[in-house]
Amino acid sequence: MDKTDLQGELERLHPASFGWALWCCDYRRDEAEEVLQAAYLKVLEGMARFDGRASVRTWFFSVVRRTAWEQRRRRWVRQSLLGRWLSQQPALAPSPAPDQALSSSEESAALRQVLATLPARQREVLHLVFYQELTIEEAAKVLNLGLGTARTHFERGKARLRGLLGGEKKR
Amino acid sequence: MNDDYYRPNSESGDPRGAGLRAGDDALRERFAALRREEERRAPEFASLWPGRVRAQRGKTRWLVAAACALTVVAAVLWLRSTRPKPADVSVASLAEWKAPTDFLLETPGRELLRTVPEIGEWRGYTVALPGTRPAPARKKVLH
Repeated sequence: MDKTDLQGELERLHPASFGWALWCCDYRRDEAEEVLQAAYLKVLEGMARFDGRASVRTWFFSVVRRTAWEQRRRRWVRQSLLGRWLSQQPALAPSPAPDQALSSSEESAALRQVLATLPARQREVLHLVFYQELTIEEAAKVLNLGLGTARTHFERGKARLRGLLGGEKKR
Repeated sequence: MNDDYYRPNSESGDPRGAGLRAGDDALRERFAALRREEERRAPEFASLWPGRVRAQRGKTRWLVAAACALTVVAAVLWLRSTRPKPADVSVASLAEWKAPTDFLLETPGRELLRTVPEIGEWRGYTVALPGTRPAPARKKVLH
């Protein structure tokens, strides 16, 4: 796949990639944009190469996830070392509230809130399967997990989510 | 656990399948609504595609490299200019050096000791001819 084809494919995937980046950045829109741009840059500069072993979506989602993790680590180092020293701020500033502009519908906001209470792995698998409509196998590849582990996270997450959403409705 | 459950379900007309059960439809609907909402608010692809950023980064890299090279050259030149030059004092070579007390070694008859006399030559003495006798030494009488 040459660069033009890859760019076209990434453009087609862009909305879904943004959704995944938002997810990886705990719904902080600025961070998500930054992460997505850094991921595109990695592709452009050849630091992330598509080898055709998985679908473009699976491959690019794992690039986005890794980039988000790197950015988070960099931010943590900056905040904990330099930030603490310069501005006498606490090591890890409380994460800003998720972008309120995104939560326009109550149902979506409730779903996001409930998802935030799940363990990270369960959340990620559920997002990839339900939101991104990947198979569990593809989700496992994105998350670099074994298929069995991904299935377990999926089932547990789903059960927990159902329970939590049921509780929400009863209230 | 049924493995087929997790494979894409072609019979149901769901191309991705994702191994969902009938009871998962409600969840899927909620996630789909969330996705539609977020996709509407996604920024333009062109605004995040880093073509321009990349070009700028390339330029910046060249500038940084040039600045580094200039700094190194300037530092080398400065170091060379500030290094103390070797003192302009001529030092006598060791072979030419003479100790100030050398004259004390100049003993009388030093040349005689340095040279080997040749046979038949007797320098410094008069040759005694046959028949001539040296005058006997007289005793000095002190009165």
